[in-house]
Amino acid sequence: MSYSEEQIAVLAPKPTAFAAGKKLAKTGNWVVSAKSERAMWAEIKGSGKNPYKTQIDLRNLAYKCSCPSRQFPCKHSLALLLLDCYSPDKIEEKASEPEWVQEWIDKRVEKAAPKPVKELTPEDLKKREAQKKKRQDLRVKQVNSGVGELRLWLKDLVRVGLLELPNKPSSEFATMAARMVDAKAGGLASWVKALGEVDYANPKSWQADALAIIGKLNLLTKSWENRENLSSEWQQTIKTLIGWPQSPKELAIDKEADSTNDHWLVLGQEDEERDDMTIHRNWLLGVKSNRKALTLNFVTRFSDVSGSTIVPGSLIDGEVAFFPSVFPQRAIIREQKGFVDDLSQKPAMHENWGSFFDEHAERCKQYPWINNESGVIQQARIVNQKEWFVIDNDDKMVPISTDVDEQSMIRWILLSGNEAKDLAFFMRGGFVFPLGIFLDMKYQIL
Amino acid sequence: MIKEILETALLGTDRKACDFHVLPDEIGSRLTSSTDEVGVDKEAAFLDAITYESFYESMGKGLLKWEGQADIEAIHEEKPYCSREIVLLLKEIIENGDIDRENFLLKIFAIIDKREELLRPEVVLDVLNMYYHAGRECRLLMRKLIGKRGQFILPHMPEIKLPVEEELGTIWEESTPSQRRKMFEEMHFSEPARAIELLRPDWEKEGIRDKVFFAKTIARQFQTEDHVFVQEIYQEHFEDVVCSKVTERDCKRVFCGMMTELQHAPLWNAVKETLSPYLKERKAKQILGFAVGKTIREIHLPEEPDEIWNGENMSRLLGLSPSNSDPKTFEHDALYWLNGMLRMMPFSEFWPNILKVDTAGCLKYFLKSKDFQSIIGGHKTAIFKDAILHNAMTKIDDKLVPALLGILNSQEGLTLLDYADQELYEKYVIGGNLTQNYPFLSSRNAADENQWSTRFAKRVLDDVFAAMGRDRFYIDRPSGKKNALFFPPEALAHLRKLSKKSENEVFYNKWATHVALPIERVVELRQKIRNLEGQ
Repeated sequence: MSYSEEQIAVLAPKPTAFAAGKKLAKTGNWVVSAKSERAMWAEIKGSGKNPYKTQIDLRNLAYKCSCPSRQFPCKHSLALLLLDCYSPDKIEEKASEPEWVQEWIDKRVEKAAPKPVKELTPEDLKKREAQKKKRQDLRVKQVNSGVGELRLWLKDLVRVGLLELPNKPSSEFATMAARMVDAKAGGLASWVKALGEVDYANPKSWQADALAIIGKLNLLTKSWENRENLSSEWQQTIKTLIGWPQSPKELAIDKEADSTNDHWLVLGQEDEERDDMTIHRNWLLGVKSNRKALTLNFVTRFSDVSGSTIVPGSLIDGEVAFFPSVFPQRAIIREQKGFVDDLSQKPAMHENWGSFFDEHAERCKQYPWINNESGVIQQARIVNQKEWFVIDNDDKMVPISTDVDEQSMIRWILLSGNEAKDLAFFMRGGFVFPLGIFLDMKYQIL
Repeated sequence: MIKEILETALLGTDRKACDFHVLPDEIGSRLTSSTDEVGVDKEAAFLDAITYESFYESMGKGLLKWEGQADIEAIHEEKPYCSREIVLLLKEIIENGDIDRENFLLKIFAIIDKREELLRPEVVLDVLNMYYHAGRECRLLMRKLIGKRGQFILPHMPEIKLPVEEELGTIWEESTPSQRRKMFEEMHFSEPARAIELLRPDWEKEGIRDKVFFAKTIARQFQTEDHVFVQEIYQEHFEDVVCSKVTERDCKRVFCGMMTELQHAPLWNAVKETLSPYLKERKAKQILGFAVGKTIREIHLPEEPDEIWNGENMSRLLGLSPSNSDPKTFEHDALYWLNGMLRMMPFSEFWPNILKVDTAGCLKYFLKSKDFQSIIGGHKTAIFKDAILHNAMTKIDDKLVPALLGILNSQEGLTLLDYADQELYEKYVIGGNLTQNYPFLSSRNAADENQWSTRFAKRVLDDVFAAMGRDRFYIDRPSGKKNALFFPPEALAHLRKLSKKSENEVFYNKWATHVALPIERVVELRQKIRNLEGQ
């Protein structure tokens, strides 16, 4: 499968890199350009003495290039993808890869494969368990202390009254968040930060927003205190929400983990800059299973960027594994077998907003912290009444978040011509975030 | 949101106790009784109330009902969409930073327009995002080709403020003078007949300054659709009329200028009759005069106003100022009025008839004759030079331009090169040693007829290549892009040969970025566009 130009544009770290890639694809001096079933590679003459060697892992999209660029993917990798898109005939089909490509791909396959587990003696096991318990106990102690401190702070807030919140210096929230980080409760820290970042200048929304966060923090801290009385699944979920890390590497090799093989449609993507980190979110939908998954990648400037990349709008044939939770949502693509060109069937859809929110209410009962939930609704239209709304075929409307780029709405109108189309979206804080529309059997990212 | 909970939350539990019975019975009673339990303080109970409340809120509220138009009208286009091939080409142009995009956009838009098609919806946003930086012609075509879907989204693109078609009449009526000027200027460019139709009934009511603006706009874009209107206004308001106000004279001059372009207009004869009594013939000097008896016609104007050459007549004839406003240059009023005539009358069609010599002869007479020289700033200056240059540029006179280029020095001639034909242009550039002056070459209008000859292109490449290596000559990116538009495909082999000769990487990069790549891209795109045109 070749990627479309729009999909490759999304992969580019900057528009300039994409433009440079396009230029190279058209006019680059390609010495070699070829692909096999699992990889694509090229040698391209650049300003260096020797041609740059560019390689792309097609099974589990990843790139490597010998150029000195610090952008990722570099213009040469983008150019190769674009060359495949514009002039597939210029890319030679080969049964196997040259040595330099084979070596890299084999290494990646090897890395992804489960490592043989070292046989441990009963003593080793006992020792390891003891160490683990010690670490866990220490962490629980730290979290207990943090939760206690946070509850006191929350009580203080409601005792004095939330009218004081807009006058509080941001340092107060930052200090409390830092204490939660020290107490190994990163999840709580994020909520405290969010409380500090509420738009207190907006008289319409700040009270409800602040109350919602305080309500969630109260529920989480109380659930933590009550964890002994909860099921192991709930305990795990509460721990994750408090800030226990989830390891994609462990999940990748956990054969017992909840996983699904399907054709996964990448409904959309979002990048969120937070402090020194970028969070990449991808919403996936299993076309046959109708399972919804959300993948998260946390990228810092020290991250290894040669990992997989997910292309919005693509249809991945693969296995998705879910982190254990009472509401399995966060997931990883455990195995990417390849790509599928066309949708064989449309995914299951909600008939209207009523149907979506009925199910949403049920899910809220199961899991009150539900957020970023994706969905597909039939026959939706977009209207503007000072603000943007999505209307269903029952003329019920839900507001679109003001954080959504207006160009997405404009693109929707242009592509649909105001005709009702099936819409993929995610919900956050009661607002819709449109992701894409279905034009017959073609999914189009907005 | 429950008011009771919100009020307590805002004021604080110290100031206002919360009555939990506002919550559903089971929850309310439980919270009320919990405050009696040991270790459960009122703040903890209230936090629980907030949690219940926010959980209830997040479950979803009652959905709003759309109260607008019951059935939102789907937008159906009347024309078909252009091919995907065109979309790919357009995207290639939009995203390519190496070329002068506008030139190619115009070509593609013209193809789509000619085929009576529309831009495909997937490319409309990309095209409109270029609107702000596009030229007028390009903008007008964009508007035309985006179809109804494109028009529908325009109100959501605040950077593009355009009236919708149906509202033009109302907008014209209700706009401020400056808005009307802008509107007229844009419309006259694309739809002259429509623009004249709007202006005609309002002409009388317009202020004189606006009239001058509209007249100048028409004159700048003078088209067949304007002829009747111009004649009417001239005959009704200006013919044989002495204008007392400066602005009225300005307006009259613009109309007279346009009237002189209409062949056989009575104005020609009137000007001719004004000159006739002052034409004198003398025998040519030296051998031509003695042997052949050749005579030379000259204009002998009165140094003082007389019954023909006076302020009132000149104002009546061509709207010229009744008195000499530049006495430093023009020794007496008549020279000043003759200067006005030289600015307005089509040079190579009118003056050879008067002086009975060809255009070059007329030019020589007006620029070299002792009678028409003046000392300005210590230098001997031809007093009619500016008027003739202006004439050559505004009337685009293809006989006058080469004749002028033969007389003027290379610096003076630069302003005229845009109006010269390609052969003359190349000759002048080579003669003036301007081939390596890339920024200068890029100032010419990139029309198809101005494409460089292969010989000239090779010469420019050789000179630029040498200058870049020898003098570290710097070429700016815009002129690199612009000059690529003139390049003939036949000279591509020569370009590649030079590229291979690049001595080092730094040089090659500069050469490739500013010269070679733009040319390669332009030639390739031009070929693609030609293929499209041929389909």
